[in-house]
Amino acid sequence: MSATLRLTFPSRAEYLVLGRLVLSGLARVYPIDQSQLADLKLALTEASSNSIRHAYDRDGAGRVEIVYELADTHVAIEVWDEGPGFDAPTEHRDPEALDEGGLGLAIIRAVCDETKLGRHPDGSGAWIRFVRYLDEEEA
Amino acid sequence: MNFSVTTERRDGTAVIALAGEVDLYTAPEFKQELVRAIEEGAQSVVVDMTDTTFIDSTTLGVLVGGLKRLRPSGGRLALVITDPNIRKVFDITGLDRVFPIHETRDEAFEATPARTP
Repeated sequence: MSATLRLTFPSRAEYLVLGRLVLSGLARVYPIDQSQLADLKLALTEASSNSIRHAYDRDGAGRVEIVYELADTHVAIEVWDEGPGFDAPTEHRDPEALDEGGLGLAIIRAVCDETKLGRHPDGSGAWIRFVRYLDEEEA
Repeated sequence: MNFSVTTERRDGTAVIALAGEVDLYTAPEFKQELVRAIEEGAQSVVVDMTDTTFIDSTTLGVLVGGLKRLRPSGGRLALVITDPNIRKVFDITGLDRVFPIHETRDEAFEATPARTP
């Protein structure tokens, strides 16, 4: 069984939870155990949050697009946005804060089996794709 | 579970209970509560995540910021964590070596006494 789902929302923090809710729903249909679900929610939130942080530098404009690819063997998620990407500095960064973009990317790489970063084909935005294999032994 | 943050005082220690999901949207409220507790004189802080269902790097940033505010006066910040998925976020970032992590509020409180002025 396989499926592709798309979710698009404005680049605002109050919508972050929607990405996680989709994963919770999908875990009822696909063999995603609680640990894998937690890792995917974390990776997705880190990727989406990075998009939204950079959107605030543009007065909150823009949108985040999430593509979920599901199969019995793996879950792949892509997050597209219209910002500069994980490596770009954030203008309104709290000087007391961690480098949350750098830490977020490190977290994604730690909990996923594959991670790729890139740009929109037309160069207009950032893209990240991460994959988590659904090992039968873990499920 | 909806997000909520509540604070109670036990001697000079502030115990902040975080419930629900803490992310970029809800973390500012947590930060506000943590900063307020420290500015009101808490000498140590225990953040109880027993009912926390999600955290991310934004949450970690708030905790690190709180610790930075406490350290100059010798204050400490400890955590109560029972969910292995919450604990994992600290483990993979190395912050399990920065924050003492306990399984109960009483254990955290005993290990994080407020300094005698």
